[in-house]
Amino acid sequence: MDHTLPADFQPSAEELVSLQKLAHEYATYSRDAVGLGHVFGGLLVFLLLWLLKRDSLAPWEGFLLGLTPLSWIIGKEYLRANYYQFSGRVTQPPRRWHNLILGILAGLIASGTAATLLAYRLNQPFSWKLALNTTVCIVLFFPMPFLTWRYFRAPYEFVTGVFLFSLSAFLLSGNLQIATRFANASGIAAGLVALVMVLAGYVEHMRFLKLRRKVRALKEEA
Amino acid sequence: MRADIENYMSLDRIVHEPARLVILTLLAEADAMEFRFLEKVSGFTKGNLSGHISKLEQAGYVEVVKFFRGKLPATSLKITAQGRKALKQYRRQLNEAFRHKPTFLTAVKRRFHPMSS
Repeated sequence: MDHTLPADFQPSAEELVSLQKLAHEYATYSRDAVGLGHVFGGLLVFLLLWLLKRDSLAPWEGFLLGLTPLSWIIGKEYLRANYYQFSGRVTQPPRRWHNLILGILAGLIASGTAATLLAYRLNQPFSWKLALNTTVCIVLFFPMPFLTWRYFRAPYEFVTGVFLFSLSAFLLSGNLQIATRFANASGIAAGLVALVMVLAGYVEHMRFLKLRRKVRALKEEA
Repeated sequence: MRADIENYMSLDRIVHEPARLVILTLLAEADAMEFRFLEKVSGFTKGNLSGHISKLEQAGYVEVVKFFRGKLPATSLKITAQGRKALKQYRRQLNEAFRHKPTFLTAVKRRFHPMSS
């Protein structure tokens, strides 16, 4: 095996710093930067908010809308693995805030579940349909901490992901009215985050195109 | 002056080698890095890179994980806590070795008694 390098190989401090920056930037596309995935997520929020403004949604339409956040996750993860990390996987170190958010989210879901069950027991006369809807809705909220841990790694992704999957839980469990109320109540905040997300995604994508040119130039140099 | 030389002589030879310095510097920027990326960005040949990674692994500075993506074999590299510490210490030692600038007094002394310093 040849272990020798060219005799004149001596990386300068500038070269080292520039390689370091390049590796750091490339690694951000494993976690913080999602580029077109952010753009897609933001546009999906706008689409859902617009569609839920209409009062005449059939239950099957609601069910189909409830499935759309899954397409976002599949799409953005595909882009992350096959497009943005085009030259091998380089992962960014995990963020401390992520674990904190995970804990808070799990606590919120547990207390939300308890509060819903209590309110249901105290206020509602028993109905099989309502009991089924409530149970399905609660069960659909359970994977949220896992989704956050595995897929909502960037800050915008987290806000939009929780919004979209909450909406999805209401829609898939047949609670169309609650979904519409939820969308109306949090529409402005979610819309603003979605707007920032679309812009941030576009900037990240442009930055990525530059980065890709740099990596390809390095490869050709070698 | 003597202390500076001693400091310079005690540099970690594993880290001091230019190719290994590049590898460790790049690995320090990520949680884990695939061999493929390192190869493309550093411009080293596969054999060259493997040799240096083996040395870093033996020193306990790098952790190597081999896995399959589908049917294709892949290698992921991770800098260890010991590796990070060694790189940090290397940088500190090198900075210290080049830190000293001649003061006005030592510059005057050198001008009139070149052999004294």
